[in-house]
Amino acid sequence: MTETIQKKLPGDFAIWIFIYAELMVFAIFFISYAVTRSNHVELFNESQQLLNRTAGMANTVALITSSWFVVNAVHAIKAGRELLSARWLGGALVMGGLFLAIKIFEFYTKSVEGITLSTNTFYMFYLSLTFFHFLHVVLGMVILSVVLINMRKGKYSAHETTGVETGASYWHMVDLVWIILFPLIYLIR
Amino acid sequence: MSETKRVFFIWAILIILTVVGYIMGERGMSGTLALTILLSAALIKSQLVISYFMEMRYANTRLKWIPTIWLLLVLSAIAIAIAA
Repeated sequence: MTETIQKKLPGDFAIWIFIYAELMVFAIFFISYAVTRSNHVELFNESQQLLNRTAGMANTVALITSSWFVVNAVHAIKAGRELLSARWLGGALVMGGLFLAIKIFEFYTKSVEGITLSTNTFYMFYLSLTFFHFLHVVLGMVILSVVLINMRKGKYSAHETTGVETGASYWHMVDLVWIILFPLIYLIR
Repeated sequence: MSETKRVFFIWAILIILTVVGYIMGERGMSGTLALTILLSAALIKSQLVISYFMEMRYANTRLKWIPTIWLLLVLSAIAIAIAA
């Protein structure tokens, strides 16, 4: 335990520069949404009413569960259990895939309803913010896949966990951002 | 409590708070109380992810406070913009 307490940020330090930069970009998006909403409250509330909250909730559950699986993967590799760690990572990727599938379904139904970026200000924010986040889920899954491939090649062990922690840290950032995005865009009215 | 059990409980709390928010959304709840509950839930959930999933509680550098500061600034700005 002493060893764990003594450590710095988990994973490679470079990923944290990237994570902090990403957080700043999302902060600007979130605050812009809230400020713009204050000038178009009725429009935002009416448009928000048409969103699929069940899909949004299911996606929150998928990402949170995926993040939890990744935590278990990190614990497993720290205990030297590579096969178990690989299984948790695989599970996390499945949950990430579920998130993408639900989001594509949402984008598809909105497009069938004739909703585009130019429909109104609310949908401009809804579509661009969720699509921007979607791209981060894709990048996070690419990173986790690379970690999984390296794990299969035997590159990680109880003494070499940096790569796994680096991927995990990025993935938790993607989860963290969604945890604010979901209530902000789907629920708060 | 083992670390495995602890993160399971954190996951369960995150899921419960997510479902609470969803039910509030489905009921179309609005106003100061609903805003306070939804933002408080987002604050608790985010900080749990930062502390237990990102493992910031084990980090011994001042940089570990950046996500928490970020969270407080973002949620305060949202609260001010929406409540105003």
